[in-house]
Amino acid sequence: MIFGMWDEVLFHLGPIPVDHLVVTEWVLIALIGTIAYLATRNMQLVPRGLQNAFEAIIIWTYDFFTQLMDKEHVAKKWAPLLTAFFLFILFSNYSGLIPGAANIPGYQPPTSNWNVTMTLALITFFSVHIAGFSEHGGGYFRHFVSPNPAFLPLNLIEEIAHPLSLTVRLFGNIFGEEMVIAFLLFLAPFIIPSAMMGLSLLLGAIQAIVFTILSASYIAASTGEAH
Amino acid sequence: MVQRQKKHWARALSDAINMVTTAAAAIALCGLGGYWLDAKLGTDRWLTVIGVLLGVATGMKVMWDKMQATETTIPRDDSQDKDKDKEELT
Repeated sequence: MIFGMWDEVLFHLGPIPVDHLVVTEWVLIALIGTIAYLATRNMQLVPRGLQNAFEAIIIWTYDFFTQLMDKEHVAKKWAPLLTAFFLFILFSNYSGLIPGAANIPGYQPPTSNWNVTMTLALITFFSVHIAGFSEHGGGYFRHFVSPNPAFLPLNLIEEIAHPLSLTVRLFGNIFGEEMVIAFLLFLAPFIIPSAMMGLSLLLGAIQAIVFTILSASYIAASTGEAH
Repeated sequence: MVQRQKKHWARALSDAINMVTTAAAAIALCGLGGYWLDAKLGTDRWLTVIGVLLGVATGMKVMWDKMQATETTIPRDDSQDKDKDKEELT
């Protein structure tokens, strides 16, 4: 087994096996969805409470991605996906810090499994090319032979290296962090692991931000004027 | 005159991380690909070396592209940005 490549199956949904990672992801999606539902169920012209907070976050998010991606229409089109990446990765990273989570047999945060991080990276990979093609049409594919056709192999390697680096960085950081916490809990429970868990709060947020802004910069590069 | 354009902090951070991790991933990808081909074809490490060199070349190209994108011949006028911000607010 390579780092949770095949996890224990909890139950079957028809022919599809469902393991604990999938169940954890469903719980996280339900949690994010519930918060979004509570914020938008009773929309007012003058926002208050959770709606007010969410509107401020959405405005900040659009502004942030517009500055990052240069083109406003591209930023508005892809901001929902990028924000979803951020929230899912953040909630997933933090799910390993929930008290008592370690007592659930086989439990691990979804982002500490490379199947999950690779799926997220592949969504980015396809989004980048869809964004580039929808912005430039057939001319988008010229960048594969830029600056001249001799660079085709290097450009192809670069395109494959992007999702690989996204996958390995997120998985490596979260998996490593989980291993260190587990090891410290085994050696000296309660006091010493608390410091590492505090650091994990920062690390989890940083990794979510890095994945999101890298995905945004790949989309910005594919939709940019250079293509 | 070539001037450096002031970058958004997130763009600068993503460029820096992108350069390093793409170069590392390209070297790992090509090196391991060469290693696998060496084992398949019995070519005694030659393809591993070629793979690593290809990965290094890709990494250097990524860095070169980022450096080219950083430099621009269009001078940045901050006062125009402020006017644009005011227009957006109104």
